[in-house]
Amino acid sequence: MHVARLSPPKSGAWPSRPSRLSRPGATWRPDATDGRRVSLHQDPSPCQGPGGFSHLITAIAERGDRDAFASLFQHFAPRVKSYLLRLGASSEAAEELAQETLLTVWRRAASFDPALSAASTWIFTIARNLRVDLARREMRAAAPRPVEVSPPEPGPDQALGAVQDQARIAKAMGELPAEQAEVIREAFFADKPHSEIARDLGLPLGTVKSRMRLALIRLRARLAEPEDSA
Amino acid sequence: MNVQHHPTEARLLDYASGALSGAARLVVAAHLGVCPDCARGVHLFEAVGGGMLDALTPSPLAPDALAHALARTERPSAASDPLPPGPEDWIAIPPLVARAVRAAPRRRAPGAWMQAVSHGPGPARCYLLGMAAGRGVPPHSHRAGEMTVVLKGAFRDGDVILGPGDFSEHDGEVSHAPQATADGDCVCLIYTDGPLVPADWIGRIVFPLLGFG
Ligand SMILES: [Zn+2]
Repeated sequence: MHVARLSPPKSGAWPSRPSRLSRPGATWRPDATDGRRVSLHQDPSPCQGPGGFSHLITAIAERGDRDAFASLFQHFAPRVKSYLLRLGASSEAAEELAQETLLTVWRRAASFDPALSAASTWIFTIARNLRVDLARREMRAAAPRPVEVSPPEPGPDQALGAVQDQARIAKAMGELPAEQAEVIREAFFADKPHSEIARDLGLPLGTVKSRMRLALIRLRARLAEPEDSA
Repeated sequence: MNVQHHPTEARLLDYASGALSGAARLVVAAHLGVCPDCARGVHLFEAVGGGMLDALTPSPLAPDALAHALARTERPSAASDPLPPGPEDWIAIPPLVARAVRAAPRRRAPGAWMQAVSHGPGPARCYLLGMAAGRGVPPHSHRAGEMTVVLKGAFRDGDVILGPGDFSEHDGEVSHAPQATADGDCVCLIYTDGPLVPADWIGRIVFPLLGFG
């Protein structure tokens, strides 16, 4: 959400599956039949002017541009739906939350800062927050309204320290040892906290925590390097 | 602010992915609000999530989905209530916590108070715990996970002193008797997965007063 100057990943930068499972019989199923497959987005994304999708969000903020909204919707709503389906949502719920995510993009477009965040990252955090809020409301039907729990935005200088463009992040992810990439992928696409990931992979909790720690250290280090050596 | 104790990277990843439940998110969110370093870690993980989202195979929506969405953009969005700020001498807190500070009843025991913030799922709960200067809560153990962030003052937990913004977490069974330092009262935001078990008769009297059954 507060991450700077990102653009959609170059094709081929995301490994489509963990190259090795940590133990035989673990449950990652990259086959296409169960609807949970991650595949590479090989085609160059449409609407890739300078600024990628960011300029579409800016156009919504500046002049309520419905064509820009339609372009964003056509790219992201089906992906948000896939994301929610992977996390176990029903088709109806996934579709509804995908619509709500894009409508939130419309309503909050003015709070999007392309210098701090890639469109895909911002939209991911919106979908994630809606999902978390929905789970809470389902748990406690009495809760009056969704509550925003996002922390205050850091200043630009703080975020700039952390963030590079998305192609570099994708590349750095692709270069992580398979065991580290695997736990991160499980976190995003299996809706599991690290304790459950450890249990399901049959690994000690400390091992999973250390893989996540090493992954973040490595991602940070790669992204802190000058562009040409990354 | 000199924050010295941080969540693990695994916890930051839980937060970024959305795997952390609503009540538990609040405790991490309070720390992120005062710790740029951890906030950067979360942002980096979120950018990974954004890249993964963009790389997913699209699942087509109903043919009229875009028309529906466009129709709904016409509606003015509901005005939201202004977010309540927290008490002035606390670190910045998430709006839901600030609302609880104002609205939830405060249960009191000698030297301590408790205010419920959020419940569930199951026995999980998030609450505010206040300790008077030099006082604390009786020895007890947790059978499950616990996360704590200090909102005001400082407390001692074994050999460690945690101050404003500091974060501590325990994965499994832990026995302790947190106590505010002598120089002032302390307020913490705490999340626990499971019940709290008093270690002695004092605890068996005090904890029910605070609302821990
Ligand atoms: Zn921190």
